[in-house]
Amino acid sequence: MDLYNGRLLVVDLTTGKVEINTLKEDFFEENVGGILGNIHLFEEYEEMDPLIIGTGPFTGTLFPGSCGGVISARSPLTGNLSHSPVTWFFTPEMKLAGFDHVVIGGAAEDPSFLWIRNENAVIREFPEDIIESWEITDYLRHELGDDRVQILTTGTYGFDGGLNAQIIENYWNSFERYGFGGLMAGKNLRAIAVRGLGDILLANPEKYMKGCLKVLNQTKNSPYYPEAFEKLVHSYSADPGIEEIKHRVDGCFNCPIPCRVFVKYNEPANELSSTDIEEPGMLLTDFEAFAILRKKGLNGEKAARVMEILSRKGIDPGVITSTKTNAFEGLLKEIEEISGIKEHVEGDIFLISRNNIANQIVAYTFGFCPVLSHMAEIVDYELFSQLIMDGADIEVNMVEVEGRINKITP
Amino acid sequence: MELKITPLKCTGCGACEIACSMYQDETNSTMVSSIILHREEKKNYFGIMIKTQKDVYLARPEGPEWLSQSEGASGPKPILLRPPCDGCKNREDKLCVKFCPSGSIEEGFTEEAG
Repeated sequence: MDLYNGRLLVVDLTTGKVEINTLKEDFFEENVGGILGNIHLFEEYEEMDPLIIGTGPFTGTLFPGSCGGVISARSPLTGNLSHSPVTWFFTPEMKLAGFDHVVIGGAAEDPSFLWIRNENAVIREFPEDIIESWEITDYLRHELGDDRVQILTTGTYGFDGGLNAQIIENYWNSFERYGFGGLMAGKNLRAIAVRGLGDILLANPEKYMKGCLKVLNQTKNSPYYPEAFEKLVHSYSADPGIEEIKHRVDGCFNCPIPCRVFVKYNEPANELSSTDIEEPGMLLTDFEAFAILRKKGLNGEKAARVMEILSRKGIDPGVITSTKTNAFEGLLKEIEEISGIKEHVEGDIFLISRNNIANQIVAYTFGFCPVLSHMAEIVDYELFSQLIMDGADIEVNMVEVEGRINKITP
Repeated sequence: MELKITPLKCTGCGACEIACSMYQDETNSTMVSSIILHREEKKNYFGIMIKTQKDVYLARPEGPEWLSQSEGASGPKPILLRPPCDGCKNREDKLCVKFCPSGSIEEGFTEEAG
């Protein structure tokens, strides 16, 4: 099948069974993919208390911002089926590994990780004593012998049973706000590792590329282009304050407007070589949390150091909104003492902002980044319909899809 | 090489890898391109390497370097086994240039090491 893989991975951690099921064209004609596909699959596999990762038709392709995927599960915080974006490089690798959706249910008896590649997957044991996110990623990349293996995990806080445990993407905070890290911990699932060595075929490559190029050119009209982190922090009425520690900006897979910035505080920020310092700093991803830390009075470096601790421990930076102190040490102590803060969780779908909400849900459906959808006006149902036709040679009823998207739009 | 690279403009997004695979094999893949994205993630050290007809060009942030093809990166599909960049000679446009969002890869000329 073109554009899609037509493949669903179903993993039962309780029994150790791994199943590969076919997803036929009618599944995609009806659900497109992403969040709508996940909702459909959740109904089917609900009794397994699944964690579902979904890609969209554009994920992993030349469509701009095609890092986008979505993770769906019943939130330990809200009790509702909730959805958060997966960005960076995980979902493109998952699609290139041969799967459109992955359903992970049940709970393993011993600490385990799921290793997905080459249209297959295995559940493997994981060392009991490695529970910090950075150590988990280092361990897996070393064991699997490939630095481009992409990993979803959580950290010490999550594996200790913390309620606000966040899913971490390799080393860095994600935009996951629903305690899915805790759900992973409850499943005894230390990590999901994926490497995509395959390809995504296209029915009409030239026409598909032409459509992608049109979208790419539209993104360059965005006020956030060519880089967005500081502008996004400013949009929360905070001064980024990272001039002296800013190293380079980083784009997720095929993203035209990078919204991440790496800061160095353990070696000079202008050091461009690969030195002996293994951990020179931190990739800042959560611009909202960073803005809140700055407004609490922390300087750029201290705010970045807090973000590093949160990512290592697997703590959702959203909890910062609920902490009272603005002193660095006090803040860390308060974060240590967190036992479950729900106030920062709103609704059942993570939204970058209250503007363009429907467009963010469109991104969750078609497989591009909701942050990009917030920053650039690129949603065009007619073009997307044509791109699916050019890519997969299938016809999607966009009126119905738009209706379903509007129905779940908060 | 019919490309001019400005490494510090690169954001590590890998669009060039996928664009190259569209030229080489009309598919989206990181395994068939002449370009490989290199990333030491915790150090934020990243850049691309391009297999040319004779050598491998390393667009390193601290300055470019030429390697022989046997010295190129390993991985699931080493650069030795990949097709060399021919400047998209079968097309009017160079796809990595067209899809690089940051302007890190431009049309131009870079003299090979020889």
